Amino acid sequence: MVVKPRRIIGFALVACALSCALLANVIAPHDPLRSSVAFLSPPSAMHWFGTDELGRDVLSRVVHGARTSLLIGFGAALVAMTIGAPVGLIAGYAGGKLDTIAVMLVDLFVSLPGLVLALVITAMVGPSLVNLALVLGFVMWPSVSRLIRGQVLAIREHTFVEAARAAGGTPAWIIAHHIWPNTMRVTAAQFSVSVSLAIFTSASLSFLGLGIPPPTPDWGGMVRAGYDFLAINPLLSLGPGAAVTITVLGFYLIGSSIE
Amino acid sequence: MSDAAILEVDNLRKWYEIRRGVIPRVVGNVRAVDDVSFVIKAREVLGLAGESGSGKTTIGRALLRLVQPTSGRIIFSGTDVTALDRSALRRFRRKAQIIFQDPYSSLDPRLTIEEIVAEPLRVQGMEPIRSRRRERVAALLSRVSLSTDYLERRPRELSGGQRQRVGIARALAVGPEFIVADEPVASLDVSIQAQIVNLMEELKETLGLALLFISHDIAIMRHIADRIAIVYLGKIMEIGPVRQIVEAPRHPYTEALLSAVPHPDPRQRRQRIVLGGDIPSPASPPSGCVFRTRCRYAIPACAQTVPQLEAVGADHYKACIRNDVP
Amino acid sequence: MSKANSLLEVRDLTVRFPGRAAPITAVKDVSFDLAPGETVALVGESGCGKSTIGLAIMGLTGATQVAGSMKLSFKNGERRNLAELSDRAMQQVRGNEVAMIFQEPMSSLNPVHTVGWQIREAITRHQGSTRALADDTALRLLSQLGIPDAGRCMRSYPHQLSGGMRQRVMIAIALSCRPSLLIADEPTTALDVTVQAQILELLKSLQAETGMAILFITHNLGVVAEIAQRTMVMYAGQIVEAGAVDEVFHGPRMPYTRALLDSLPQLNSRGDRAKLSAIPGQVPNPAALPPGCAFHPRCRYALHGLCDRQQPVLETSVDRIVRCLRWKEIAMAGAP
Repeated sequence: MVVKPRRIIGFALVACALSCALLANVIAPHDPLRSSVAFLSPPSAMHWFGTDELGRDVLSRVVHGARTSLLIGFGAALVAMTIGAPVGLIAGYAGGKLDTIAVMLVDLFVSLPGLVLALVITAMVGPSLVNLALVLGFVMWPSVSRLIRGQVLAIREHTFVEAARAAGGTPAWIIAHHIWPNTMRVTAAQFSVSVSLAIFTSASLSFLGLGIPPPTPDWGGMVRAGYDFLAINPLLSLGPGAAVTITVLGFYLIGSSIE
Repeated sequence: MSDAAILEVDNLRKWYEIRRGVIPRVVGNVRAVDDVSFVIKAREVLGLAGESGSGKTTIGRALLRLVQPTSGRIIFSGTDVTALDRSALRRFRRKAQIIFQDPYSSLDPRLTIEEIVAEPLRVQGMEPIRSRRRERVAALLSRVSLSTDYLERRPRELSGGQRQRVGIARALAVGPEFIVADEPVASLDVSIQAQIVNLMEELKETLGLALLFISHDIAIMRHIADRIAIVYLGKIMEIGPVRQIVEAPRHPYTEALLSAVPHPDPRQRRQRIVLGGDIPSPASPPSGCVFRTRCRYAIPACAQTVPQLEAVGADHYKACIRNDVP
Repeated sequence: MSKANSLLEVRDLTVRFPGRAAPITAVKDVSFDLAPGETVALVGESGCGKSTIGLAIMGLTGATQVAGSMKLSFKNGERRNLAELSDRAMQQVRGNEVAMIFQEPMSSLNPVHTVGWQIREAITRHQGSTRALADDTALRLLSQLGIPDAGRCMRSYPHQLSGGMRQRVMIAIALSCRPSLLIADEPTTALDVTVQAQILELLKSLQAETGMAILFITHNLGVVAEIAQRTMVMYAGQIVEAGAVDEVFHGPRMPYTRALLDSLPQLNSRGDRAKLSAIPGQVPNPAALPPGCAFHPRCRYALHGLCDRQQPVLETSVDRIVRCLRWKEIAMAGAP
C-alpha cells in the first residue's frame, strides 16, 4: 500500500476511537454511570473534563461513548452494504428492465432527505442501538448501490468478462469472481465513508433527542445535555463533540485515501 | 484431407434495434450481419477479412452465441447452436472457444495466470482436483511456450505478446475443436505478430483445430488461412481459397481492398485503386448491392437487386451481378 | 557536418523521463537532417522512442529532460534551435512552422466545439485574420482535402464525423498556416485500410503542392514503402539504420531491420501458408536495457564477447547509417 499522509492520519484517529471502544474499561478513569454529589465540577486532576449534571466523569463517558458510536457506525455501514451491494451488482450486470426498475427505486430513495427520513422512522420505531443501525443503514443503501452499479457498468465492458461467458460462466459466477472483486477498491472506500456518515448522523439524531436512551453514554446526547451548561463547563459539550469530529474525520480520511 | 463440415452457417442475421422517443419505439435497425452463409470444415482455417462496420467481429461472437443471432442457423457438428438451451449451451462451450484481440482487457488484472487459464476448467467442472488442474494449466502454458514461472504472476507483469499467449492457453483449456480468433495479433508489435501467428499455426496442426481467423490484415491471412471470406457491411462479398482470392479476385471490393494494402516494397508502388467516400453506416445500408456507392464498376442495376453468392471457380463464390469485373 | 539546405537539423537529441528509481532514457543521441520537401519515415515498434522524437521537436514532452539541439530553418529565413526556445516562443512555432497530426483524431479534436470553430481558431491565432477570411480559408482547405460538403462539415462536431473525415479535419487544421514541416505520428494506424490509402494519397498530393517536408512516424513498413523517400529505423531509443527507402528495404544492413522485414507477412508470398520468420524474444524495457548492443539478445548474428560488451557506434557511408558492430561481415557473408 502506498504511504499517504491522509491515510496515516486517518488510521491514527480511528485507532484512537477503536481503542477507546475496545478498552474503555481500562482507559476510562472512572465508571461512566456512577453519579456523585460533585456535579458540574470544573476540570480537575481527578476529573480531566470535569463532571456532568449528575456528577459523572465526563472523560469516562466520552471514552465509553466510543463503543456505542462505533457499533452503530459499523452496523449501519454493514446494513447499507448488505442491501446496496447486491442491488448494485445485479442491476448493473443484468441491465435491461431489472436495471431500469432498480435505478428508479434508488433514485426515489436518494431524493428523500436522509436525516429527515431517519428521524421519522426512528421516532416511529423507537431509538435503540439495533434500531439506529438498521435505520441508518436503510437510509444509506441507495447511494451505496448507485456507486457500485456505476463500477459494475464499467467493469462489465472488459473483455475478461466476455471471456468468462465464453468459458460457460453463469452470471452468478461472473459476478462473484470477476465483477465483485474488481469493485473492492471502491467498496472499501465507500464502507469507510459510510461508517463516518452513520456516526455523524446518529450523533445528530441523538442531539435531537432520538439517540440511545440514558444512562448509556452517547456522544450526541451528551452534546445536547451539555448545551444547557455551556457557561459553566463547555467541555460537557466540546468533549463529546470533539470525539465525534475526530472519529468521523478518521474514517473519512481512510475512505478518501483509498480512491 | 477432405473432412466433413464442422460448422455450417445459414443465413445468419444480427440486427440491432434503434429506439427513439420518450416512449422508445423501434425506428430502424443496425444491420451488423445481414444474411451471411458459409461452411468451415474440420481442421480448416477460414479467414474473415473486412474493415470497420463489416460485421466480422459480430459474426465471430454470434457463432459462439456471445451475441444472440436475430435469425439464421448455426450448425455445429450436426447440432443447431441457435436452438440450444442453457445447459446444452454450456456443454457446447467446451467445443468452441474464442481468443480476443485486446491482451490488456481480456485478462482479469486481479487473478494470477494460473487462475485465468484454469477458469474454463472450473466453470465446466473439469479437473476438480486442484493439483491435477494445476498440472493441466502448466501443460497448457508450456504448449504456448510459457514456463511454469508464469503460474503465479499477474497480467501486469507480462508483455502484450505473453498475455496473448495466456489468452490462447485459456482458449485451449477445455479442449475445443473450433476456435474463433478475433484479431488476435492486431494489438501486438510487428515482431511479435509473427511469433503468435506461427504459434497458432503450429497449435492448429498439432491439435487438429478448425479456426475462424478474423482480421483486417489480409497479408497475415495468406500465412494461416486456407480460405478467406471478404465481408463488407454485414454481407459476404467474396469467399474462396486464399490463393485465388489474393491473386485473382473476382469482386470489385476485394480488388480495392487488396490494392489498398501497402506493400513493404518500394519497388512495387503500383497505381492504386483509391476508393472514394466513407463506409456507409450499417444503420442505413445502400439498397441492392451494399458496395455500389463506392464501387467503380457500379451500374444502375446494382441498386435494384441484392447480389447472391455465385460460383466462379472450385469452392470460390462472389456476390456481384457483373461477371466482367474486375 | 550540417547540410547547407537542411530544413531541420537534429543533433544528439536525448530525452529522459523521470522513472521509478532512475530517469529512463526514451531517446538517446539521435541525429538526423530533414531537407525541405522530403518525406522521411521514422520506423520502429512500440517503446522505441519514435513518438517521443516528434513530441520533442514540437516541445510537447512535458516533464522531461531534453538535451541536444534541433535547428529549424524558419519561413522568414532565420535558423533557430528549438530546444532553446521558451514555451511562449514555441507557441508561435507550433502550427506556423511545424505542425503535428496524431493517431487518434478524436482525442486531438475538442469535442465541444464545431470543426469550423477549431479550424478558424488555428488560423486566427497564427495569422490574426478576420472571421470571414478565416472561414473562407477553412472552406477551401476542407474541399481541397476531399471533403464533399465542406460547409456542413464545418458546422459538425467531431463525434458526428467518421474516422477518415476527422483525420482530414486534423490535417486541415495542421496545414491551415502552411507549415514547412509536418510531423505525422501514426496518422493512419487507427483507420481502415481503404481510408488509409485515401489519406496517404492526400498527404502525397498536399506535399507536392505545398512543398512541405513530412516526418512520418509509423510502425507499418508497408506505409513507409508507400510514402517515404528516406527512412530511419529505431530500436530502444536509438536510430539503428537510416538511408534511402529502396536501399534499406532491399539491402538492410542492421540485423534488426533485416529480421523485421523478414517477419512481415507478405500478400504475394512465395508459397501458401509459408511460416513467418519471427524475431525471438521481445522489445526490451527502456529502464533495463541489455549491456552492449540493445538488440543482441534477439539477434541471430550476435557474437558473445563482442555484441554484449560494446555499444555499437554509428557508421556512416554516404547517406547511409548503420549501428551494428558486425554489419560489414554480415553483408560480405552474402546476404542480399
